Amino acid sequence: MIQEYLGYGFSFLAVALAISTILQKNPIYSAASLIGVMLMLACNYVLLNAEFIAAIQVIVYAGAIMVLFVFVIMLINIEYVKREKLYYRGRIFGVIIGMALLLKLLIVGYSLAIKVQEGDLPIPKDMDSTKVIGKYLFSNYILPFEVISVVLLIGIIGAVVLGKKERNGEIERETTIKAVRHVDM
Amino acid sequence: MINQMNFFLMIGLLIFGIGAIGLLVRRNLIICFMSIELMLNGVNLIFVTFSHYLQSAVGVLYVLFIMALAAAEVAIGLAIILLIYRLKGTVDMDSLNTMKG
Repeated sequence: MIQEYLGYGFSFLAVALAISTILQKNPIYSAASLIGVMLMLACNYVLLNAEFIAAIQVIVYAGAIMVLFVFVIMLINIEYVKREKLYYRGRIFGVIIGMALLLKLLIVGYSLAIKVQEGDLPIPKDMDSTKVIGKYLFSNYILPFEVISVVLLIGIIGAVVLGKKERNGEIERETTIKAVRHVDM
Repeated sequence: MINQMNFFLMIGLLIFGIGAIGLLVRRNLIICFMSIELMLNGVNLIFVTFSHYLQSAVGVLYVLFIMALAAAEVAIGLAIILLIYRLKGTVDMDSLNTMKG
């Protein structure tokens, strides 16, 4: 019973923080709200008996990915970003299309009735989430597990290559930025 | 009263929809990227909900793969955003008009 109310509370906070994420002008506040959403979803995962996923959510999403976001926000000049106008008439179409998508999804989610009682790869009664993940990840899903390591390697190489500063043309780029700043001021 | 499974499904869909609206409405590249992360998180919640109520391990395993893909995606995407900032001096989407005819 108390689990039910906890689920309602965490979910309400998650939705409120998600709305705050897309409405903040300053990207730092937006990132802080997004960290809150991820922590609340981790609490929901614990209620849904997926403790391992909750731990990975906190470590990888709230720990690693959001630190990367905050780092990049600190690197760019925040004064530009603050000048973005939030409300103007062209945006009403985006809001309408998004609301239509949301309404359709919510109708589907509300009326969904699942008759199947057991899916593939059943979870045994006496095993917890971590043991089940270990069992199936290294037997049935060993090929996707290896492929995802290659994808991560490509991600690392791509980030290093893209982030490396080129010696030629460096002066030219710096002057371009200064010129743009000068015009914009 | 709505039952527990549909409640968690609708929360996941709500977060997905909020992320979609943010992606359509905001013009800041970094906040659009955060909206994509919101959409991924909504889908993750739906996967875990189905995994719990159907007593199947497939959803939980797919959440792991989605998280690994999101990490790689964020690393490359933020590197590209930094390059755009170095080139243009801004991260506004409307300023990226170098390919217009």
